[in-house]
Amino acid sequence: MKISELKNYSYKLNFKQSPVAVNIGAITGIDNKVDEFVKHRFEKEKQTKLQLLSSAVYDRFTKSCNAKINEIEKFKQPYNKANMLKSVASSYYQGGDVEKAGVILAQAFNALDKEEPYRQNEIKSFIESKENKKILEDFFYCSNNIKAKYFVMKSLNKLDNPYYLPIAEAVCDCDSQRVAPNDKKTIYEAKLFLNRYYDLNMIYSYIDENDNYKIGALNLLSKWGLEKHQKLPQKLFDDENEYVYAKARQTESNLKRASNFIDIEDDNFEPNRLLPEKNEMPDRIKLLKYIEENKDRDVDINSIKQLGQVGITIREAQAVRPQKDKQYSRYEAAKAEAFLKIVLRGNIKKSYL
Amino acid sequence: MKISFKSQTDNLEKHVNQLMRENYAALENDVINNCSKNIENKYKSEFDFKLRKVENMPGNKDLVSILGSLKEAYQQSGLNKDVECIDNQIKKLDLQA
Repeated sequence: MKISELKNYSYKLNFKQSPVAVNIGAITGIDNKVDEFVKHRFEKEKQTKLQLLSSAVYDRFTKSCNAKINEIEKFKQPYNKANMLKSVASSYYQGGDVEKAGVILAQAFNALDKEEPYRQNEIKSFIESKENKKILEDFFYCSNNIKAKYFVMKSLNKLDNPYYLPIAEAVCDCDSQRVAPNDKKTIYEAKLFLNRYYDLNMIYSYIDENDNYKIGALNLLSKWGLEKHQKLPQKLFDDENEYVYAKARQTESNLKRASNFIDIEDDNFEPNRLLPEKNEMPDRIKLLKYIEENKDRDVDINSIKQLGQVGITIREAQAVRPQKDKQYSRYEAAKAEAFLKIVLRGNIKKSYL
Repeated sequence: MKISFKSQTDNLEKHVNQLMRENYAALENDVINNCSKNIENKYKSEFDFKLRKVENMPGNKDLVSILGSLKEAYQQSGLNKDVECIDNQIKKLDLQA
């Protein structure tokens, strides 16, 4: 080889030293031995370790699940709580304790949140159930516990559902066939509830017809009216009929004192009334048919009053409407009161009749 | 020529422990991922079912809440004897809890 070629060769090869790693472990076979040793030891301990690990994972799952279960507040949703209270009320009712059933059902209504999302239909059928109505009707029939009745009526007023208006009406009417006597505070609460739905100012348009309407209207106002309705009796202060005048004075004073009552502190109430064998609302269709068929002669006053308690349609209003040309009589005035009740309940304007 | 030694054969114990650790780490990772998945697949629906069932079965805390409501209603209704009974019940449940 020529020197010149050698120079070129050395240039190409580049004699700069690079480090060479010598793996002693691999050369001596120690690495393999270590691997084998580790493998052996690992296999030996693997099962125990695996069990420990998986039970730890399982424990973690179970613990977190149980924590979730324990943390569930079943009654965080008002509907669930109300439902539970309703079940309690039902079982008291079935056991014959109507008073507790009524009180607890009212508390179930208090527990409800009517705006609870996704539950609107459930809540509606929860409130408007026949069983509930029966419990509360029987409660107001039996109970002489003034405090309990005030509590239940206040809850119904707060619930603000027209389904229970008939109960409030019976309380306002002091209808002994349907409710045991109530105190003024409860009656006032029932009046507030009624007046959310019935516009008593509608009565104004009817009182000019004759004395029967005037007396009927005054009687109804005494029962259902609030302080704000004093204007109507005042309008009759210059009436020619002395009886109407006296009634108007009396009604005005009743309305003035509507919310004037004293709290009862005594908890000793009279024993509760026993439930009648049949305590049902009168049948509207039968009543209407009976009154219409016997229109030419005086139908018994009780049927007129009963239709006044349940009627809602124009036809029912017409059936009990007092005659225009008749002079004042208790019978005709009772018809006027029943007529006005139906008008208010059905929101029937004079022009419809 | 520079020569470097890749492994320290005189420190075998350290080497072995390191390898064991590496293997365990891999095993742990494997078990936690797969096991969790398996458990979830196997028991999740069962758990959800249990959860739904429990929602309708009141525990002590729930009973206290219901009894509290009853107490309030009875208090306002003048049913004083029943209020006392409920107070005793609530105390009992509180003790149990």
